[in-house]
Amino acid sequence: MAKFNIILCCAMGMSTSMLCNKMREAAKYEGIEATIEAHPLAAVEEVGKTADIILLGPQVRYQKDAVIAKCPNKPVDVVDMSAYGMMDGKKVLAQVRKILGR
Amino acid sequence: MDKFQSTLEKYLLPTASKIQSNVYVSAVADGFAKILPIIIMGAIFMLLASLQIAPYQAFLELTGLRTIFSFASTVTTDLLAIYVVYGISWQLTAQKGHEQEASFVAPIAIAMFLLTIPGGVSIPVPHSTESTFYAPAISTAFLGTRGLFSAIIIGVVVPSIYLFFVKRNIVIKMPASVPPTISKSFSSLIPGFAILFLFSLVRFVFGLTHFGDFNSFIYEVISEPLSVLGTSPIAFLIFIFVAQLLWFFGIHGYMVIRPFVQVIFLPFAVENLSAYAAGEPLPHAITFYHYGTYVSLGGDGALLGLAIMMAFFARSQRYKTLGKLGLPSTFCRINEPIIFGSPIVLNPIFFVPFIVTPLISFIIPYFLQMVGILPYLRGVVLPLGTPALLYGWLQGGVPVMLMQVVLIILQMIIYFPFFRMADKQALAEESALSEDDSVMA
Repeated sequence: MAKFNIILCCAMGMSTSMLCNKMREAAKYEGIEATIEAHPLAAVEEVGKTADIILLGPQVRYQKDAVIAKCPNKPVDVVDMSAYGMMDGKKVLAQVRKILGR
Repeated sequence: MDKFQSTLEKYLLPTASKIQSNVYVSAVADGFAKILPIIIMGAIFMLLASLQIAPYQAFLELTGLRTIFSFASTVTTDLLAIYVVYGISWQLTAQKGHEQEASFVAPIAIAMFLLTIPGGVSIPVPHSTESTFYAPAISTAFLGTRGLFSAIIIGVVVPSIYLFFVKRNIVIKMPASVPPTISKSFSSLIPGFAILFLFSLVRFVFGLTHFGDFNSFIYEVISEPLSVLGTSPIAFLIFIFVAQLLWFFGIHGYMVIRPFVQVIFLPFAVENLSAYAAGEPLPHAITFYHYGTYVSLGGDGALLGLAIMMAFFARSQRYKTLGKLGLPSTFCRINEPIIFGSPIVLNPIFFVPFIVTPLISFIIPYFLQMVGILPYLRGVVLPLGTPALLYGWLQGGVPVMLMQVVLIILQMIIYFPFFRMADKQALAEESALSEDDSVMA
């Protein structure tokens, strides 16, 4: 299976970095090879280039259109609020797999 | 309530998005963020030189460390405006899609800022009312916080003019065989000449007015009136209210208001810090760091007390788990788990305390400052994630740290009834679920 390259973005890249750790754990548990990184929104154009998918924290969901404009041809989605709150890495990983269809 | 919510969301979301994705607003915000490390470095050194603990001060004196620590601020916080010009002009050029040009635009912008400052300084002659003019010098008067608004204006105007030329292709074109770096530096010449001529003209024209120079004009016309706004607690309370309202709809409200709060209240913080380092009384009652110290103690919404109650007093499994998960980061002002996990977003139970607690958390310390019980904040520029209590201690010593403790207790008191309601609800849901399970079994 091809490696997943997932970029998470929020205001400062702080709270997404917590989710990032949980998602890495979930990926390891499921035996999926994945690069998962958290970044501040300001860097999305640069770091988004190599990503398979860009996920936004729900608190910056209003920036979705702007992110899509900056990173055309990339799937951009917003992390489900309750999954974000409970830092449910497994659920978010499932969200990613569903969108990417693999 | 549902209709009210959907109407608000319909208008709030696009407005917040518009403000935040406005290229100028975000360039100013990100430009500030870009230079924050250098300001933090300067601020920490200043703090290290001036912490009022007697044995520590004796140690500094003895080792000469005080002198060593004192150099940093003269080239960091004291030159804030120059770094702001760099940060904003670079960021705006990049955000308008010309990142390769940013390294040409930023130096031009810095040069234009320095150009607006007339050369030479007047030095008072000792023991007389006269002063001598010393030509080979640049006055530092507007290189720090006083020049912040000119810095922002120049940081925005220079890239705009530059890109005006680039977009219309009014540039010197080199043959394709010339390496791109060289051809880029040539292509910056025509816009550069135009900008240089314009700002030379600006300097000349303002030299004819009674203001004397561009920076004095901006300072008197924009900065001073705005700083009146900055001394009023009402403005700060409105910012807090807007941020909280946006957050209730799940929008990072602080991100939306930050550019404005930063522009008005960050200079006050830096000026307080300089005064603190010089051993003078702190000039400003309200600074940017009131947000981190008091308003947003435990993240936006002042959630530290709630997180503590969840971690230790929750009866439902749901809030117990969430509290343990979210408490450590909430202590460092990162509270998204609590905000989205509770959830507080769009949850009518938490609407009132979520709006009211941050407002009260500003009003009480402000009042205590006014009656002289609580010291003004030192305005130490601190990195995001600095834990509560340490944050308070750095900003104002033990009294401010104690104020934070009191506010945490107050947060618990205000949030308690609402927390109990949510906890009971969760507990009822959980027991209903387990009953279902037993029926199934």
